[in-house]
Amino acid sequence: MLGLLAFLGMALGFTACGDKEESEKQEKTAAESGVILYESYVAYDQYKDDNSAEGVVAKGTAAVNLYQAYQAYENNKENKEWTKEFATSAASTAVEAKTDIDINDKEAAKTAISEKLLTALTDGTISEGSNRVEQIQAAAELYKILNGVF
Amino acid sequence: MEGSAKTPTLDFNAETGVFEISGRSIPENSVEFYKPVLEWLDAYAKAPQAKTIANIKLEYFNTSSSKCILDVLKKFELIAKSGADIVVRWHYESDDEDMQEAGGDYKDIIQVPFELVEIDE
Repeated sequence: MLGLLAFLGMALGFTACGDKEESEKQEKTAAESGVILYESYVAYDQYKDDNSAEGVVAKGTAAVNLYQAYQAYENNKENKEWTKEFATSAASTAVEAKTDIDINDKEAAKTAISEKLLTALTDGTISEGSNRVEQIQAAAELYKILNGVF
Repeated sequence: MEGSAKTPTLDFNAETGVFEISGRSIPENSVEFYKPVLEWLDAYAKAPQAKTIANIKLEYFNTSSSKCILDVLKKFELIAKSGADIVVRWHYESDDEDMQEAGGDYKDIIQVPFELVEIDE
């Protein structure tokens, strides 16, 4: 058995982390935050009524990630280039995830979702979340707003 | 296995019984990424070391990864239930309240010795 484990160990390539800079904490880009906003929205929707152990973990993670993507928008909302990239990224992810959008309409759909998203985030009222419980509550408000966008 | 911008670094050593997962976990397909990890742990669980230490040093993970991480932790739970000595150490940066609380959530769910370890930035 030890031989098998040693082989498996080698197969998984257990090496030390290579690029130290890459492992250091990095601030997420506008595009990354946009993707996280959409993916966390979908995940929250999937697990919002699931109270199993797995569901609670998934729902909490989705909610916190959703709120943090929104917070990234809040911190950068005066930067027009940043918000444009953020919204376009979220819209692109949403459009790519939908199979019922005609390929010729995808660009129009991205533009429409992107504009709708920025309007909704600007007009929507979302509580400040200074701790995890508040962030999860704020994510529930954000989810309702995004329901009208995606 | 060396990590990337989207996948964590995996450093598992069956001979010392020390496992480490570190970095970001936002793979395109979390289930596919974690499948060999779970298979490896299944094999390890059949003949674990007298002392097993699992160090988890994640800085961010997405929702699908959160379920896979729970599956990984359940493997450690199985090792613990078999009578082996095991501890999970969940490391979080001192200003990262979310990762601290995420570790607390897992600690509540998993029946295995579980330490929350604060690290300086």
